[in-house]
Amino acid sequence: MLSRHLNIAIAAVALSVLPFFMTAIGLTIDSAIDVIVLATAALALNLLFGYTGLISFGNGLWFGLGIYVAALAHLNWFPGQMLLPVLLAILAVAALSMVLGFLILRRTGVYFSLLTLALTALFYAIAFRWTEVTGGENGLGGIVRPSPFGFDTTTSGSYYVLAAIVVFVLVFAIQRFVRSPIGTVLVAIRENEERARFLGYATPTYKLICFVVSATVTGLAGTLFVFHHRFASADPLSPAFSGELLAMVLIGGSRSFLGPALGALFYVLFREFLSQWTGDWLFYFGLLFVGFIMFSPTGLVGVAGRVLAPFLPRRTTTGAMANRTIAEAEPLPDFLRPAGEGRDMLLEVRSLAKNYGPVQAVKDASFSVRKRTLHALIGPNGAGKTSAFNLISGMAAPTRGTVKLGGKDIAGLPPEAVCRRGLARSFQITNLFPALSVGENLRLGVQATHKSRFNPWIEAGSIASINGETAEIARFLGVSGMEEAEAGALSYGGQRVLDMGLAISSKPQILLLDEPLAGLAAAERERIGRLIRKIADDIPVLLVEHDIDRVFDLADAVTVMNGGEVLVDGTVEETRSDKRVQEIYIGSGVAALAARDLVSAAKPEVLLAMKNVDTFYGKSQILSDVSLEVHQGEIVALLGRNGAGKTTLLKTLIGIAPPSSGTATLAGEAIAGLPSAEIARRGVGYVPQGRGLFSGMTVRQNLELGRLKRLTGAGQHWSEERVLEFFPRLAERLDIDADRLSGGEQQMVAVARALVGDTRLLLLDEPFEGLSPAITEELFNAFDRLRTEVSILIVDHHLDLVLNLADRVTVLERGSVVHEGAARPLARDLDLRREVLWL
Amino acid sequence: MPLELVFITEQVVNGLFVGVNYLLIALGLSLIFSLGGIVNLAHGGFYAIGAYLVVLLFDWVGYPAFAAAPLLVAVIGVVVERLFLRPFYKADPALSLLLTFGLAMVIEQALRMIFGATPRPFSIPEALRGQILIGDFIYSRYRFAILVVATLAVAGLWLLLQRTPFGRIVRAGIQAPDMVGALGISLKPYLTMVAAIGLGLAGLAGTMMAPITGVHPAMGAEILIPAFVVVVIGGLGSFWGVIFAALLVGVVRGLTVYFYPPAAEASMYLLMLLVLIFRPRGLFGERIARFE
Amino acid sequence: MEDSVNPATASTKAERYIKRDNVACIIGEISSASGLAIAQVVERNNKLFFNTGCNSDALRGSDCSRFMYHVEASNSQYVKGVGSAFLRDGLIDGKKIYFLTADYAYGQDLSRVGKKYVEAHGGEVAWEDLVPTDSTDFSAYILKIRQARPDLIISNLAGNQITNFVKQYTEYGLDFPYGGFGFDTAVAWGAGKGNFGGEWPVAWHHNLPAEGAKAFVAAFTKKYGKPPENQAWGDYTATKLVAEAMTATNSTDSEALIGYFDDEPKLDILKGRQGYFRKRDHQLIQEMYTMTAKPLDQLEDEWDLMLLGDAVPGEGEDLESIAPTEEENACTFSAA
Repeated sequence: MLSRHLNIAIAAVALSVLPFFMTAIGLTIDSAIDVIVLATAALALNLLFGYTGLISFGNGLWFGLGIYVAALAHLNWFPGQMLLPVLLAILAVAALSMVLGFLILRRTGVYFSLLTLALTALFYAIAFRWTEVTGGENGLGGIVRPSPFGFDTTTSGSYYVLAAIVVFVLVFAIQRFVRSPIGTVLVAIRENEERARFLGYATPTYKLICFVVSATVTGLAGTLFVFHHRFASADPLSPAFSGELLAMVLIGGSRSFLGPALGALFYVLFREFLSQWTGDWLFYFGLLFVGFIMFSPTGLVGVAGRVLAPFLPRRTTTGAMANRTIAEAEPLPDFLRPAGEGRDMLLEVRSLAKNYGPVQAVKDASFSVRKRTLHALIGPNGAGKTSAFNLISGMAAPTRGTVKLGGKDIAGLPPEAVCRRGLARSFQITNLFPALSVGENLRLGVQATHKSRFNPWIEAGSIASINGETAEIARFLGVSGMEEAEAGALSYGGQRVLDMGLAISSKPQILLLDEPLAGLAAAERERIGRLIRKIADDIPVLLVEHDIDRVFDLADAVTVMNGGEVLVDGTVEETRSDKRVQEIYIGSGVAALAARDLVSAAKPEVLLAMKNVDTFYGKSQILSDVSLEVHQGEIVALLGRNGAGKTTLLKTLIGIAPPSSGTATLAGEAIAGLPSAEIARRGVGYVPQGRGLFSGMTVRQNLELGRLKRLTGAGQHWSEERVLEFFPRLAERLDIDADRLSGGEQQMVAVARALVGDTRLLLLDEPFEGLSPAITEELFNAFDRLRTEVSILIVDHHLDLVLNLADRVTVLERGSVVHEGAARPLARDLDLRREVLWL
Repeated sequence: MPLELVFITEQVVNGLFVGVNYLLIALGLSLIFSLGGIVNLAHGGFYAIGAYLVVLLFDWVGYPAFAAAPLLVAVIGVVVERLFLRPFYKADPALSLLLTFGLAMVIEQALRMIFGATPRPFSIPEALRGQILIGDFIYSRYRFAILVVATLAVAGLWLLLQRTPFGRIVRAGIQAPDMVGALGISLKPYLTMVAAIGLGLAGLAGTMMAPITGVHPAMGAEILIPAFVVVVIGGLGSFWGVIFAALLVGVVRGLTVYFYPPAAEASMYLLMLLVLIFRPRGLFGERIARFE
Repeated sequence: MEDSVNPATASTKAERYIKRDNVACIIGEISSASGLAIAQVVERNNKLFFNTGCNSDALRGSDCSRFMYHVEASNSQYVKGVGSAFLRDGLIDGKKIYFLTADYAYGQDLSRVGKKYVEAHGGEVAWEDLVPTDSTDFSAYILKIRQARPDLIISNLAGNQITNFVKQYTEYGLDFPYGGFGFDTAVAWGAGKGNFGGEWPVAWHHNLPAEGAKAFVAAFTKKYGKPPENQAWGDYTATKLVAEAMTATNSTDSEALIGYFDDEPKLDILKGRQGYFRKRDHQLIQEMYTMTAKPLDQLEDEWDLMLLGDAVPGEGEDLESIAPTEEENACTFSAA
């Protein structure tokens, strides 16, 4: 992005040179006026499109409305005048856009676009048909340009000067606007609206402001247009004109401040020159438009950037990381410390419950958090911890129950309101403004509580108090010196810290941290752990974390959830010694099934070999340097805590999350990087977590989809009959809708579907999840019988079951293999198990 | 039955038939949207291409033109899917909205360039002219033929989606594309087929409408908005929603013509705005996060 | 010669032709809004504009300009032209008439003029449906017409809507006589064989026996492979008249040309009778024609769908009798 002074200078030079340029190439000053008027409309549209990420197919509506209101006022009420009609038009457009914006901004994305399209089509029909008022097809003529204060505007040249002055002021104002606190929030909305709300920004209000500003500027451009042509007609209201405005923005470059203006110039030149030798210039314009979308969505500015790139000095951001100053002993900045003393009750959650359809994510959770404490919320996968977080922080409204913050009920409030009352949160899956710099991310957080957050004029980057606080938070987090780096380019650990930093920056009374340590390297866990402890001495922290040892080290109080309910609520000591908690985490080691001695069928031949595999989701690394082998007839259990990368490993093997480096071979053939359909056809069956059955289809139809393309001769052939021998209860239910089966039966269908066809390796992700003991046993036995037929790689957190089933175990931690060995000793020796698994 | 009621009934029945015309286009739109995630603003263009093709081919091959034209549109659809749509399946749906907006412009202008702006002459084939009279009710025989073909096409599409492995793969692909891949099924050829079917349906609608409406370059743009209104009212991606909405729009329009003709077309916009404000995802639509 | 996409482009282009290319006059346009936009530009610059495609009476009345000439017939001329044929066939006096009117300026204008004409001749406009401009399906209207059982159906529709209505009216096979106050030859061609019917007005047609017309049709057909329709006639005639005027006055000066035409010289306009530009509103006063469908067995080619009726006004009647009167459509040129 060009600096602000440069933008303004370019605009000033362009406005002065344009009329001479246009006449030099054989066009008139009238065309120059068209260019600057359309450029203004394009810049206004880009406030929605490029800055806020809302694609309006209906901005022509405001242009046309400006035209009509100004023309009608001029003809009927203020004959011979220009200023009053223009002012009236601006007011009318602002008022109507506020009402319509309020309605249609309730929808986003594609729906918003379609609504704007329909709206402009509707107004076009009205204007075209309402002959008495708008002149309809005849249009409205007879508009005259006045000469206020002796300034003659009747010639093209003088009107250009007038229009250019107005346009220059508008460009300057739009530039101020996009660089103001409001402008920065608009960009935040484009990047990540959800996070902006959780920082306390009432994003609907910001979007409405942007919508009204965009409409009003467009309307003002319309008034310039009507006094330029001295004529009003319905055409600018047609969807085609709105589309052309979009084309100008896109062709010019939506990510550059002046790009859309360039697009407008390009459009007029293209139209004027091409229409001189062909009536089909719109055809070529359409082709060009399609070409830009397909090959250069950043428009002409993007093309120029790429052409010029080799000649410009490269800005290096890689060095930025090196500038990092690790400051260990930084105390929490003063301005973040809540006032007062003591450990009074702050957050009280009572009988919280949430149903998603028939599923009860949270059944009945009650707990409370005191001031200046670190309160941990732990529990196994699916216990309802993150759901509880979502209910407390306003992401979802609870079905029942209350959430009181400092005595006031906040349940059911939208996230921005919850945040403004002093509750901030971080996210389990990193949730930042990835295309913005670290500094901009943090500044957005600080700005959310600043009094200038709705200021449309002041330069956002120049507010001293915000800058000062941003710098202090950066120092406290240990990210000083890397403020310029793009957030999305940070290391995974850096992003996790920044996510937490964003939550603190809104100066909360209480902080909710969702697995802030997940996926971090040991040294960093140590550091972040201490950071959290330090925060909690002033700002209470409710922490979800799977690293039990660290939780027990750090926390003042612990709530354990299981199955959507609170199991234990007490001190660290009470929790640590609770039998039920131990059972959840490492199993009891005494289940009936587990006691049986099973016979291994493993053979020496290697079926699957993975070597040095790295896998990324976007920029966050999930697997690093993973190597793993599965032999013929072997059952390998893949263990590790939540977020350790187990599911990702299975997805990497089946090709849904392809590895970025490393190799994987199946029976000697390389499979890494192949499309998942190809890998599946080589004999790999996959049962995802949650089963992945197709609803609206019967059992037979689900099985059919498994078989259809997998009769390839790879591995054992599994006919439907043979599969049903293993799952006899499915035979009677073949023509029943899979949705209507019990959970256990659904699981059997998922396994059967993965087998049917030709299969030699089965990947099972949490097959025992949520099943009754009887079904669990049935499934367990089926897997045991299958071991002589196929190899199995299984992920499950029912340790007693998988450890007894498996021949070997591989333990993942933070995406790396930390233990490999025989399963039997772990199955029997609980102390050993605790040593290996209770990390 | 009082006479007024007979007339109103007649308008309702006729409205249902009119709705069927929107239906073929709206279903194709909905299908491409569901599987590929592309909101195809160029859909009307393929309707126009279908009409032009049947006009050109009829002089040359006679009645088979009515079958050949939609098939040719489907073939063009395959090419368009490969060249233009494919790179956008995983992109931001807003980008595909812009892309297809541009494509619509190119198709309309290309037709104008090749065939001129004035309408092309075309009439109902001899064999299908005439009217059907049942008591006081009148209906055009050709429209009845359209109705039969359209019903067959919709029923055929339903059977294809519900009763064949092809349809089950497509439906599974709509629900969980990754899972379909993990069963060894590559969705690419199915995406191409679905685009061909969806665009072919638009071509079929254009082919059938050619004898009773003006065949001119902007005819695609004329029909696109009503078709979108239908899809949005019914709910993006809902088969029965689209059918219900198409018939509803047809009936509401017919009744508006009866009681207050100047609002005939505006009635459906109002219907859509109401639906979008009070049931944002359409009457039968489900929430699809990536489109919001 | 120019037909533009929209009024703003039209006015920008007109300014460019006048200022950069220094043209003496501009010929063309079909949309009334663009016509008005261009009229304003020529008036400001003292150049001439010959309108060859905009029918609206407003352009000749309240929005009229000294610098604008209308080769295209006005709505009044169209209405009265075809109206006389209806009158002759006894379809107006004492009859109930159904109007289908395009709901925008052009249709509303036709309807206004048409209603006056019908009522002046003892008829009654008993029904009128305003049709939205984006309607493509007329079956609902046709059903209403069938219930109403009118003596005559009049279309005040425009462009493609006429094509759609004519096609669908034929489809339903109703036998009420019908026709329209507004028409375009291209629209009838678009309807196709066997669909075209009713009685319509036309300013010019390629089957006219006039000498000049034959030569023009032959030359045009040779170049473009199809006969010219009325729009092409307008453009050609306007160009021809301007050239004649420039030769006669030996000048391209607007005032000289206006002076030439204001003498109301008789002009050859490729029709049976000569025409002239009326001084009062610069409307080309000319004869009009009616047309009906040619029986299918007489058709020679796809362009030959229409049977040309007699010229209106008839032999010996005043050409002005079908033009709008001063009371109907007053025009005051702003002071030059």
